[in-house]
Amino acid sequence: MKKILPVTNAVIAIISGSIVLLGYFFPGLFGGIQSVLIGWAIILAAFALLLGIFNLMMVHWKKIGSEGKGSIYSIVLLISLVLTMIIVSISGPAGSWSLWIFNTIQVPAEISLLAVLAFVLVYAAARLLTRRFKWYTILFLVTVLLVLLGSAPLFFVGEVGLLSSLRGWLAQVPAVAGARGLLLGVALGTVATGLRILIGIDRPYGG
Amino acid sequence: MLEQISQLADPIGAIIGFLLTIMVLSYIIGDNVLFRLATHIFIGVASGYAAVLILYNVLWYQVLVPVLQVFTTGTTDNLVNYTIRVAPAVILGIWMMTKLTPRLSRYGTPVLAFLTGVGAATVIVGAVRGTIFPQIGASINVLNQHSAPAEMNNLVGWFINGVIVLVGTITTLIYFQFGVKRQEEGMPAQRPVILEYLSTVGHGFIVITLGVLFTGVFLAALAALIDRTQFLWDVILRFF
Amino acid sequence: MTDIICPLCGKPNPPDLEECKFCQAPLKTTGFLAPSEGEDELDKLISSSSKKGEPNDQAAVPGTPSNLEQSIPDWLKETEASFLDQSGTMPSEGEPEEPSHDQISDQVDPLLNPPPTPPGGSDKAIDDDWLANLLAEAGVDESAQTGAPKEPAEEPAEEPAVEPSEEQPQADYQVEAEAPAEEPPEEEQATPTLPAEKPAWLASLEAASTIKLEGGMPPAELVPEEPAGQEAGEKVEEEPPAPPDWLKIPTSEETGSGAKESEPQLSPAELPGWLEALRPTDAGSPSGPVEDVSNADIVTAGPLVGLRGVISPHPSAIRARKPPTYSIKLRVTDEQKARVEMMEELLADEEKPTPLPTQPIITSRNIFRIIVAVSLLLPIFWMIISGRQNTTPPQAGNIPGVVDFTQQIQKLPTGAVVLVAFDYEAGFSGELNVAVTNVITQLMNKSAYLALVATNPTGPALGESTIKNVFSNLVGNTTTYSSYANLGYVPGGTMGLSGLAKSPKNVVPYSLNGDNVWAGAPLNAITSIKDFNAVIVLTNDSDTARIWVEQVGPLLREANTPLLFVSSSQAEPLILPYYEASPSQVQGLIAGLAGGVAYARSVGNIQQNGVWDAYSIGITVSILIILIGSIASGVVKSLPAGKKKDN
Repeated sequence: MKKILPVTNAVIAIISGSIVLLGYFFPGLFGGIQSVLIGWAIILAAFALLLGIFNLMMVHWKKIGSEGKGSIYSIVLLISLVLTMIIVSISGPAGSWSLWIFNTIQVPAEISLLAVLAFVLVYAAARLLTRRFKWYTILFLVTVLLVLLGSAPLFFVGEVGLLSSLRGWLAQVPAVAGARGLLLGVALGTVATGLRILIGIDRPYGG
Repeated sequence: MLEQISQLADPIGAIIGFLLTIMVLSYIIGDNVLFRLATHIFIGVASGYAAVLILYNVLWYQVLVPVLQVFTTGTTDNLVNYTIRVAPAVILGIWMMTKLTPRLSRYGTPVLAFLTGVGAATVIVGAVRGTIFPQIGASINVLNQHSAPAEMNNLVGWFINGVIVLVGTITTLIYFQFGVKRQEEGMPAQRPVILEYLSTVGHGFIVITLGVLFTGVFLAALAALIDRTQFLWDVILRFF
Repeated sequence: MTDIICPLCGKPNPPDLEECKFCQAPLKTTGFLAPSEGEDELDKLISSSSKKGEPNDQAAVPGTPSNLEQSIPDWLKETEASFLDQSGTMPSEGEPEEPSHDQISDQVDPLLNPPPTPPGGSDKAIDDDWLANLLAEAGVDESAQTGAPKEPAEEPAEEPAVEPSEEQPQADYQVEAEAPAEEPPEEEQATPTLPAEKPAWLASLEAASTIKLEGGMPPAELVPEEPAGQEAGEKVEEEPPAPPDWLKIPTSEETGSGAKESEPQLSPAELPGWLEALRPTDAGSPSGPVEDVSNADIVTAGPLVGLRGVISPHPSAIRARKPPTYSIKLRVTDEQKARVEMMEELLADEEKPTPLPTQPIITSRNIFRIIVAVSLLLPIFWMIISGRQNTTPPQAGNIPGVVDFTQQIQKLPTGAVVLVAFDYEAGFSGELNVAVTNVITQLMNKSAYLALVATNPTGPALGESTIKNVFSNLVGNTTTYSSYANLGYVPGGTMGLSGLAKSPKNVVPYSLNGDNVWAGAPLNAITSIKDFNAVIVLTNDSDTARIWVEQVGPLLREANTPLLFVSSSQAEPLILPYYEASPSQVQGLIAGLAGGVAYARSVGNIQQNGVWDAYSIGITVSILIILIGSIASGVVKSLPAGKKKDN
């Protein structure tokens, strides 16, 4: 069984992936089954997400059992999770009470977390040269400063046309070139990884 | 009673939002209890909402409602479609729940294998059709004379920009090329000199791109900070 | 302090304990002492033997049956009882202060009080002891036992003396076996030796034996008698190479004659070869240290009754149980033990998760961080409080993608069916609110039918809130915008979008309210995503944007359906290559707060209330902080100390 199962897993991955792949090239022949398989995968992804949330609950439930500072946070997390589930179940995901919870707790907390990032990033940029004094860190900082200068009119100074143009050029020419290279690199890497899975060389599912 | 609660919901919500904002922003002075409490509340609420949303959106309306309709209305039109499209997925989903227990975990792997296979095929096709071909085409067309401006002044600029984009794209890809030829014994593995130079140029383009990305993240965070400041001031004005 | 090492579990015990505190094995009879630093090995052996004779020794106290006694088999109890009965009737011949002497039988007296032997003579007691045990096991009667000691009285020692270093690892049983030979001389003199009677069976054995002591018997390995106590040990240590005259190996003839002279009433016993072979060969090693057993208890029960300093045959000692497993642990000194403990502590500390060092709150970094935060926060607060609107909002032409976006929206027909994907995190609503609100307002103005989807779990709530807020701001009352359907969440990421692109009806068959929206107009005309008039994706993530472009874009291009993006400024750099591609993969883009304000300005719906000024001053202050920090860092680095630190 221990030997058969990994092979079976690889075969399942290869066959299902191949059918979906063929569906793109031969939509008339394999389009129907491809659509069915993708539909299954979408529902399975929902189950996987539920599994993840259940696992989160279990982890924090176990943390409550163990003594320590973290247990109080786990209690808070579980209480907020269960209360939210109850209210959203009663009200419905688009109900007024669900939206009240969403706008009262989730939105302020999430925006505030992002706001804290502003301080952290400015602090990190100011200390960057202390960490690494190389040509690329200087180039990085110069780029950051130029883009910032052109992003909005400077206070007490107003809009400087040259800076705005420079910002536009940086964002639309060299940055686009680099981003295009990155996107192509990511896409090529994705294709290589996907093909390795479909051939059976890589088995990230644990086969 | 409910109406009274509804009327109070708005001010109570404003106070809770105000407190949560202060709790999270207290991270400025360092990691502390208030910050952790706020983040755990946030995680709990987000997870709870997501769980109910999935139960509603997928399991209830896609899995159970069609079955209930058969019993309530007697319509069996969609029964075949349901048997093909939904029922096997539900069985697979229940099968995947074996992943919850370490003892049965490996029996749930075939389901993950299926999910991985379908995902890999989808990603491959998307990358080829959506990024590789169009972006290579865009790089080729960057100096296409049909897209050249008519004025001579703009033409120089267009040409220079086109060359920069082309060189930047190619050198960035070269930067990620780490293959080397087999060297003699004792010699360190090294790329050809020309590739080394080109990859350095690519490194420069990547640094500029990362600088622009960093600025974008900072501007997003700054906008969030402005939003929170405005919210805090609005609440203060409302209650004081 | 000398501990007693338990023979069963090998753990050290305090010397005053009778039984091992770990495994409850008897210590006094079978335990041995842990050597301690600076103590002579011989001293330890002597002290161990003296400890055995302490009055607390439970095994030596008569009439106090151990609990373990109950576990002895009946046959053994009977044997012991009969033996004790017989010995109990005998008159006491021992010292009056030793109560155990009352139970000494006459028959055992020769064993207990051997006649004085001349120096150099072998120790008969060991043979007696050994033979007595044998006889006891064989169930021989009293008369037979009395005949047991009739062995060769003295046998020559195999080796006169051994180097002290070889004596140290002596086994326990050796020490115990030597004990009878170390009885005080005055006791020996006080107890008259009874003439030994040879039992019939032994006589027959003797007759049958072809091996005589003179010829066939190997030299005896008995311990020669010598003064017990520490002196002996010292002597052994000081003069290892030259044994005294009396310790010289006597010939068999000499020993035989010597025994006859000293104890004429005892006839020498002859052992058959097989029996001789069974004798413990090293029991009488002359190299063993002698022990002062004057303070040792006298055995009060069993076949060795009356003997002093020997293994007690008390039930607790001979209880029926599994043979003790002797520990293979090394004998370690206290110093070694301390080092081992120290090493164990070190190893244990290594395994423990070391808590992160708690940094003090007031550090230069924290102060700098707080200064950064305050200098960024205060000007923004000032702008919000003042509501200042002096900074010019950006023009749509200066922000890439905004003009195209505006044109695409304007091109939409009235009542167009638009798919709007709320694929951004709630945290980015502060940045995207301006753009999203204005886009939705424009769509509502065109009476567009909005189909809301999300590949992010927060998307449905964001979409619902936005629609309600925008419509209430637009209309001025709480009525709901009717031309929309919140289709909810599409799980599966890439796969979900792939399925949605081909057949949205199959992926999201019902709205969040449970309505079958695909059955009625206008969605009943939609079979594929390309049937929508436009697809607008609101996102903060470049990966999400890429997936939309890759999975949905190709289908949309087939029908020239525009794919428009409202994105955060953090995703803009990676969406721009798609927007600037030729042919364009993204037909319109609004990025960040600047893009939102520019779009709002282009549609004439700008509501600032100080936000743009706050944005402007925030950027200005940030530039100053980064510049000052970088210059300071550069100066520090250029200093010799900074360079040295960097290297």
